[in-house]
Parts: sequence; structure tokens; C-alpha cells
Amino acid sequence: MAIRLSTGLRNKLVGTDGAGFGEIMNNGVLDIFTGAQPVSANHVETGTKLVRISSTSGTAAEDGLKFGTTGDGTLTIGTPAWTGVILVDGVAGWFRFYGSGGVTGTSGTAIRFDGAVGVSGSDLDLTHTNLTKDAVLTIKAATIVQPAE
Amino acid sequence: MAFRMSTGLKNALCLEVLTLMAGTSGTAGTASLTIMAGTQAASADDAGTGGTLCVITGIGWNTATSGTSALAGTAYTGTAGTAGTAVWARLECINDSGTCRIDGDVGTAAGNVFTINVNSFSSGGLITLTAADIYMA
Repeated sequence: MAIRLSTGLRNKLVGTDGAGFGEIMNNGVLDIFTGAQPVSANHVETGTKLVRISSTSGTAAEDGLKFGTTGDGTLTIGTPAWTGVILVDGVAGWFRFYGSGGVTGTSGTAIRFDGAVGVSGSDLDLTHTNLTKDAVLTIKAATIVQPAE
Repeated sequence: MAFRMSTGLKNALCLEVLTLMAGTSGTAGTASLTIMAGTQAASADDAGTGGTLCVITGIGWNTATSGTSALAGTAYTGTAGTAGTAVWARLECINDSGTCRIDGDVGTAAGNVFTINVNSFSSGGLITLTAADIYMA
């Protein structure tokens, strides 16, 4: 037998109401790096930062990313568009999403999560991972899923 | 590579779960665990099956450290209303019309989702919940 969560709890866990994942991470930013993902999201960033994804391409003071709607334990990204201008040429390898006022470097208390970047079956899929300086990268779809089991 | 959450995020999500289930952290929690016989429901959205053996109330958890919230206090007890073999249990949200649930197996081993002192219940027997960690992997 296994741990099983109801749909109501899954929606609360990922949602933007209360203190779910979406609420905790709302108004954050997402950075994409080259190289291999650190073994822990508590660890310092590795590789070269290629781009910061925000709601206004990382240029405004108020540029936090918004999450969207929740259903069946799944949280979607929201609007304005998640977009950023690529800072330097490189191959995307992994990403780190920082909560509002994100803390970089090694930390045991920072609110953030990491994942792999690829073109298929990764935590964050892009149309290609070869990023070119000054191009605009837009994340058009992404979901956070809380499984039922 | 994989999806990985920081300890700070794990702790925050544990707090969300224990707050939903128990209203607050610590020994003032008011979560309710229903222990049942039979086969665990295929989905936590389904009605409970197998028959209720015991309900343990007033359960609380400590705030999380390292992504895990342990029971606040040493143990929580309830009285078995019916004799039978405990197989699984359901935690139900107290503040959301019962729609937030966590189901899992019960047993005397530490590896069970809900650890209790005995598997075979006698009517009127005292049942003790000794561990029920809420954690984020």
C-alpha cells in the first residue's frame, strides 16, 4: 500500500491560495544555467547563468513570475508571459526557481527549487537548449504536478 | 537530473499540510486519524472501506526541520470501538469539509505510514499512534 493524497489536498498543496506551492513561489524568478544540476537545491549555483526569466525580461523592479490556475493537483504558469533576454551564448543544462526576494548561494533556508532543462522529458523543456546572446526566451507552458500517490 | 526542492521550500510545504490537517502546529493540533480494517481505498478521493476500528483525535505535528514534521508530543491515543485487524488509516482535513485527505498503511513497524502499538485490536482496547511523519522528498 502507499501514501495516497486526495485531489483536494493536492490542489491545496500546489495552489496559489492559502500557503501552497504556487503561493510560496509567486513573484519569483527563474535562472537557467549551463552544466550539471547541483545535487541539492541548498547548494551554490554552478555553471554559467544564461538567462533570467521574469515577467518583464528581468528589466523592471516588479518583475516576479506569476502562477496560474490549479486543477487535479496541477499548477500552471500564469501571466504576464514568462520571458527573458539571453545574457551569453551557451547550452542550457539546469534551472533554479527562486522565491520572491530569492537568495543565491549556499543556503539551508532559501525558498527555491531546481530542475533539469532539455528538449523532451525534462523538468523544463525548451524547443532547443543552444541559447544565443540577446535572443528572447519565452516559457510558454509549464506545470507543477502533485501526484496522487 | 531531477526536480529538487530546497530545505526551506520543503519545510514551508510541510507547514501547509500540517496546518490544513491540524489547524496549527504543536500539541494544540486537532487532526483526526481514522484507522480501518480491510483494503486501503484505491484513491483518497474514494469513500473509506473496510470498517472503522478506531478514531484518534487531537493530533498535532511540530514544524518541519530538514523537510520532515514529526508528531508533537510523544503519542496520541484512542479507544478501539470494534475488534479487528488494522490495515490502513485516513487523515482528514478539519477545515475544508473533509476534502483534504492522506491515506496510508498502519502497522507496528517504523516503515508504515502510520505507526501504531498493535495491529490486532480488541474492542475497548487503547490504541496508540507513535509516529506519522509528514515529509517532502
